[in-house]
Amino acid sequence: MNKLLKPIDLILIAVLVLGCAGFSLYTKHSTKSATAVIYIDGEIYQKTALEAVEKPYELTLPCSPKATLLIENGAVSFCKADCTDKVCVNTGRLTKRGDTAACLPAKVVVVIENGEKNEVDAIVY
Amino acid sequence: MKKKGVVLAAVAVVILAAVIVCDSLFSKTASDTFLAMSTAVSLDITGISSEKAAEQIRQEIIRLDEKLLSRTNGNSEIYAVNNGEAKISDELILLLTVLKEIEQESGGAFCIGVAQLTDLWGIGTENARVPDEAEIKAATENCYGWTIDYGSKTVHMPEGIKLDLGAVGKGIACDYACKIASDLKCRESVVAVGGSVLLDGTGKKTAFKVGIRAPLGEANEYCAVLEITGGCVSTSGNYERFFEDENGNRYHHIFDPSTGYPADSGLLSVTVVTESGAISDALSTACFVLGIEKSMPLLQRYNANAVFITEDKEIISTFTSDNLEITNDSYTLGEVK
Repeated sequence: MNKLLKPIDLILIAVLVLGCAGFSLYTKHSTKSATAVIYIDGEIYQKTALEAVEKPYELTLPCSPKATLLIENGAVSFCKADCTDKVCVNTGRLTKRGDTAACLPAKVVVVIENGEKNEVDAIVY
Repeated sequence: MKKKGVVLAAVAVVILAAVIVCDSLFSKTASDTFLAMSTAVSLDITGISSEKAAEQIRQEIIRLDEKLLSRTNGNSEIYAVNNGEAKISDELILLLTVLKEIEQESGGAFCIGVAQLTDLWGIGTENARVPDEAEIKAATENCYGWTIDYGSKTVHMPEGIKLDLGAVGKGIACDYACKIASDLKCRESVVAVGGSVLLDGTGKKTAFKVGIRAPLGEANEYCAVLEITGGCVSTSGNYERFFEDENGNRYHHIFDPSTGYPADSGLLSVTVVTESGAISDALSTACFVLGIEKSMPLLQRYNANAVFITEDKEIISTFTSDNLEITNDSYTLGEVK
């Protein structure tokens, strides 16, 4: 008499379910540590893992007008810029996923990828 | 009997697995950050076509900026309008019609015919200065005089008047993004074009949290959190672009078109929430100029809600207290007087 389901079928089903659940968890919660992604004129210039920064340092970017970032453990900010409006410097420190600062005259954008989620979905200003 | 039960259980398990996979596919999020419209744009789109939507939104916002709204790009329609009579697209006619209506409904507190005034003050540039009264009078005199000629599809411009859609371009971009995301059946979209934000969660999320910038703090610091189910949120504040003269007087960049001077209505910022980004952008500017009391009929007219922050650091809102939480102790909740 044919068994409708053999033990091997049950094992396959179990593997399938575990695989799907794993896939789902992976796509939903792939938590990596915060990375500062620096764009100059639309191109990625550098990616810096902020958790790995031991001592704060300044990074002067090859852009015009000149702009300098302060890279710290877990944070990045524009510390100096030769632009006139200083909107970039006034933005302050970026620490959480999605935090963004830009210097328009220099065509520089810095955005935090991965890392801890912000408590808010967006900030209006 | 027992075997039947096992088969049914197996089928149920397979269906469950399929549901998990589908949910993961539909929850696929695409993110992007780029510069357009003189600001940083960031996109977070969730849905099975999220990557396609994010790419289309990026292209569309860049096209809007370069081909339609920019007044400095020689290829844009607004540039052509400002530099001699030009035939304009139906797309621009539609936008200008909405903006003309808000100009009238706001009693002139919102007006796009002020590019010459912005240039005269030069706030945010190296040439920032306080112009003399004759110059200001000349720059504001005919600012409401621009009209749309629907027959010839042109804009009639009084002499010396130029259009500046800078106050609404970001909100217009949010509206275009919303259309693309909903056409592609995305279940959740957060699109921030500078400080103008689209929040669309038709598919999944029940509420979004929006931080309102603390006017006297850094740009990433907020003083209140607004909880809404969706819509477009725009803020106008006097802190982002300003200059100080030799006597320490501070001049910001939101002008009252009727006087030609920076608006002085006792406010630090106004945040407006509506279904349309173009309207929330325009209303936040208009309400900043009008002040709290005079803003109320305008907000009602457009079914909009607002959060005002006064110079006394009072937060006054048309939302219920369930929707608004003050997160910074130096601000207090006030009431509409």
